[in-house]
Parts: sequence; structure tokens; C-alpha cells
Amino acid sequence: MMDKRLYRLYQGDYNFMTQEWQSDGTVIVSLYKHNDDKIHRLHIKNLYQENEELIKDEIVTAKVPNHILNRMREVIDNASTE
Amino acid sequence: MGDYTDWTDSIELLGSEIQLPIDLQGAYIQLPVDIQGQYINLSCDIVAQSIGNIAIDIASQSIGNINVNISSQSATLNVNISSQSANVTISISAQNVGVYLQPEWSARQGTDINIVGSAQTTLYNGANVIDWTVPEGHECYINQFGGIWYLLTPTVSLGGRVALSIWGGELIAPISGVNGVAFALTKPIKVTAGQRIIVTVLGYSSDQGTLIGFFSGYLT
Repeated sequence: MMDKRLYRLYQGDYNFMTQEWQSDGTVIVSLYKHNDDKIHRLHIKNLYQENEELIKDEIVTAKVPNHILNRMREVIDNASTE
Repeated sequence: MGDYTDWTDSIELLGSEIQLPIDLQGAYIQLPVDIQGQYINLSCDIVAQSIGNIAIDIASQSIGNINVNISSQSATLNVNISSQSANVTISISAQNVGVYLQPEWSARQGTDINIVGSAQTTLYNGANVIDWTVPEGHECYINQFGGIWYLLTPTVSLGGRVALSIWGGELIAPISGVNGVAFALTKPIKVTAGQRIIVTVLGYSSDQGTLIGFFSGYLT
């Protein structure tokens, strides 16, 4: 049975994929969608092969830094009062 | 439905000539047609040797919304006009009108797919930087692809190549360039479920570097 953490890879439930091919032949795959700050990173051995194996997976949150959000809010607030 | 008794009523008119005008005049008219059912088949078949005019005229000082909403996992809306001569006029008068081609529409709808792959290269070598299989239940339409080779010592670059191939050995487009190239396709390449897409990037150089390839398109 396939590791359930790989389901998303085969469902196509993403808009963006990056494949970082490592020197040992493994691949770090990142999947994410529009309007979703969660990036699913999968370290896979033998990608798409019969003996495909998930070495590791993690969810990385990609958020706009708070200091930038605060600056954006400040600009909007000041623009509306001018 | 519910605990109500079944009710069937039909209007059947049989005659050599039938006229059934509905003429409603009033200061305030409501003519609601409310159809609710677990299964509804509403067909309007017009068969005649000659059709004079089928007109839907909506005239009002103010129109809220005329919505045609089709919500389905899969839908086909066909407008077939078979005529020796036909005029199709779509007249839109609005401050903003958006008409999108499929690639742009797919991005707005969130069905676009963008895949980037990277690998390190050794001397005079290349690599498959993308290995991707179209998910079951989908078709992929590729409308652009490309690649770059970023070498540690760019001065020794002797060019390179990006190849997009569909699994099965068919090489779609080998391309030569200096340090990178990208192509926008005027006709998208259709790739069906289960087919494998390989993007290979080659950088002819006597130095090591990074190879990056990409393709994008949309899924249906």
C-alpha cells in the first residue's frame, strides 16, 4: 500500500510543484496551492518507481513576515485618512 | 415528495391549429415558475418546418441580474448553429468585461499547474530536472516550458539544450540557447492521464553548475 502522505502527489491537488533532485537520486518535492500558506515538502526516494519510498515529509508554513504586513496596514490606514 | 399526494395534470391540446396566447397585463405581475424535484427533466423542443422568430426580449429600466449558473463536475454548453447564413451578435455594454483565454482563466480558477525542477550538473552533462506524471482523472495542457543552466563559471558556457519529452520517447522540442530559454506555445500540448513528462536540461560547459527547468499549463 502506498504511504497516504503521498496521496496528494498523485491526486494533483496543487498548483505548484518543485522538484529538487539530489546527488543521491532522491528528490525533494514541494507542493502548494494558491491561497494556501502551507507547503507540503516530501523527500522521496525512487520517485515514480515501483519501489518508491517516502523518506520524510513536513508541512512548512510560508507567511508574509509580520513587519511587512504591518507596513501594508499602515499604508492603507493612512491613505484612507488623508 | 413529502406526505403530499401525487398530482398529475396535463394540458393536451390536439387540433389542426392551436393558439395559446398568454397575455398578462397589470400594474404588478408575478409569474413564478417554481420547479422542485429530486429529478427534473425540463426540455424545450421546438420542431417546425419554419421558425419565424424565437425572441427573448427583456426590457427594463433596471435589471438586477440575469444569471446562467452551471454547477457541475463536468458540463458542456453547446451552441450549435446550422444554417447557410448566420449572424451571431454579442453586444456587451459595460464598464468592465473580462474575456479570458483558457490559460488565463485556469489561473483565475486555480486549475493551473506550474512545475519547476532543479539539479546539479557535472562536467558537460545534463539531467532530468522534472519527472512528472499526469494524475489520474485529469488531462494536462502545457502552454510554456523552458530552462536555464547556471554555471559556476559562465564564461565557459558553450550553450545548452532544453528538452520536453512525453514519456514514450517522443522528443517534442530540443532547443539551443546560450544560458537559458523559454517558450510560450501558441497551441498547447495535450498530455493525458498517466503519461509522463520529462524535462531535461543540458548545459555544455567544462564547469559545474545548476540546471533548472520548468513547464506550466493547466489541468482539466
